[in-house]
Amino acid sequence: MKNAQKNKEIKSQENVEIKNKGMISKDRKKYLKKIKLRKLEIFITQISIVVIFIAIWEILARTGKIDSFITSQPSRILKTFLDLSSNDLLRHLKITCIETLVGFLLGTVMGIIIAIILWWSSFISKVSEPFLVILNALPKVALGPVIIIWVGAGMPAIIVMALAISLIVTILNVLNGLINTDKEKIKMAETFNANKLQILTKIVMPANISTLFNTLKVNIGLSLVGVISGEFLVSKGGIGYLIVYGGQVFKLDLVMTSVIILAIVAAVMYESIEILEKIVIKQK
Amino acid sequence: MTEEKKSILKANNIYKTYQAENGEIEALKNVNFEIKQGEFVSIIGPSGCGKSTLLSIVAGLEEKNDGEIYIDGKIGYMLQKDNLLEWRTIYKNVLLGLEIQNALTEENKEYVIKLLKKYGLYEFKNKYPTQLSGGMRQRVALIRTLAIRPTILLLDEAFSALDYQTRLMVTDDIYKILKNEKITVLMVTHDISEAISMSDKVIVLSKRPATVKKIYDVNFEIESRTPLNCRESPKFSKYFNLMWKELEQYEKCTEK
Repeated sequence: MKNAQKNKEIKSQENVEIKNKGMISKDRKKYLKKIKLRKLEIFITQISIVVIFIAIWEILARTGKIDSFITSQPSRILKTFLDLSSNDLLRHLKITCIETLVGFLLGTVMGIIIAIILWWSSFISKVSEPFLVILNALPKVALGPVIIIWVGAGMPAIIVMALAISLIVTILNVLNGLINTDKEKIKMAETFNANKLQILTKIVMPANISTLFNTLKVNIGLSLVGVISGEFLVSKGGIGYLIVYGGQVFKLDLVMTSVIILAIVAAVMYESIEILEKIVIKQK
Repeated sequence: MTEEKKSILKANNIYKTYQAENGEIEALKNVNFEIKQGEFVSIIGPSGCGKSTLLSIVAGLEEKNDGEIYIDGKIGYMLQKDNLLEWRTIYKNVLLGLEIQNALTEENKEYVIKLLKKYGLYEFKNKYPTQLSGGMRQRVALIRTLAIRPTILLLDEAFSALDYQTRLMVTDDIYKILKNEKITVLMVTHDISEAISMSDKVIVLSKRPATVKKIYDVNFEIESRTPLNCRESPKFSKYFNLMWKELEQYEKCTEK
């Protein structure tokens, strides 16, 4: 206990010293202030853009300059949102999130495993290269009808769609990272007689942590694309369903509300991966 | 007279040919040499003559086409770049070799700690490689290799990635550590002066296909010899000119 206290004291002393150093240099203080100010400026501008956009939208709709039947309007979106939340918004949200997460996890895990297999065997990698290139270029949404016939119209079809869209990109991105690992580092491990599994776990995988996280970030977005296009085609629930339904019955309020909710979902998912990345890298 | 020292490494009639789509390249042809315990031996030769290939073959990283390598003991290998893993602390980096060889015993860990303490790196053991200078990083790489207790150390242009000033200091530093730990060394370098300043023997290879042209015994008769005080010796320039001329001949041949 006493030691801990002492440590704290030492630390706080160090802090004071650092602060003192900051006090000494006026230029440094100026510089830090400038950076802070700039960040604040950017943030305020960003918020203002959103607020002004919404305000203009609302004003134009109220004064009848634009037809709110076609464009909807912020106050009506808010009202629809409140209605939905007291109704079954949560159910739709849950469906879309579950589908996206399952598709995302499957795509990531399968993609990484396949990429490792291709890294391991240059023969399999060379053989599969043209197939991967074609599959990557193919718009996966075109497979929609085939998927529905094969796995049935429902949640499985949507998950398969998310998987189809994210899998190939994952394989290609991860494989590219694995292949481009510093050859010298691999040779260094070989000088200690490392086997291929050790090279993979001790050199190649840790060297590609940031590649992996970049892939995850791309993937969560792609899975969402897959899920929404899947829901457009088959579903009886989910945000994609709300959008299609709203469009069909010409309820633009519902469409706009759903799109905004979707944007929030996408942002939250992306942000969670970013937070996860920070935690993992800090632990390293 | 000292007793006859035992031979640690012997290379007999080594041949190596590379196959490529547009033909084959004869890299090594009938290479022979021997290294005795405690010796510091350098290999120099015209650029691209296959020096590093020879080292890789000695280490067993590359196949040879013919010939035999005898090694008495364990090999340590140090590359041009330090190749420290930036996601591991210095301590974890130094343990990498032991980890790969499944030899992370308490005894070996203690040995590593001892080495870190002895060579002034202990206080940095929880730092990351990016926080260290080039010279210190090279020293960490050396300790990573020494951790597996090699009897012979192979140095592959181990200092050429450093700037000149650092390089002189690092060679001096590492030379002292190696002598201290009584390690036998085989070093490949393109730098004649580096070879002379550190070695007891310098093997000169010809241009491709490389074969051993000459083996020089280097003896400065300085009591506590270091690479830096060797450079100041009058004998240094004598050796330098000798080897320089030898190598120049081959370069001329290539130009024709």
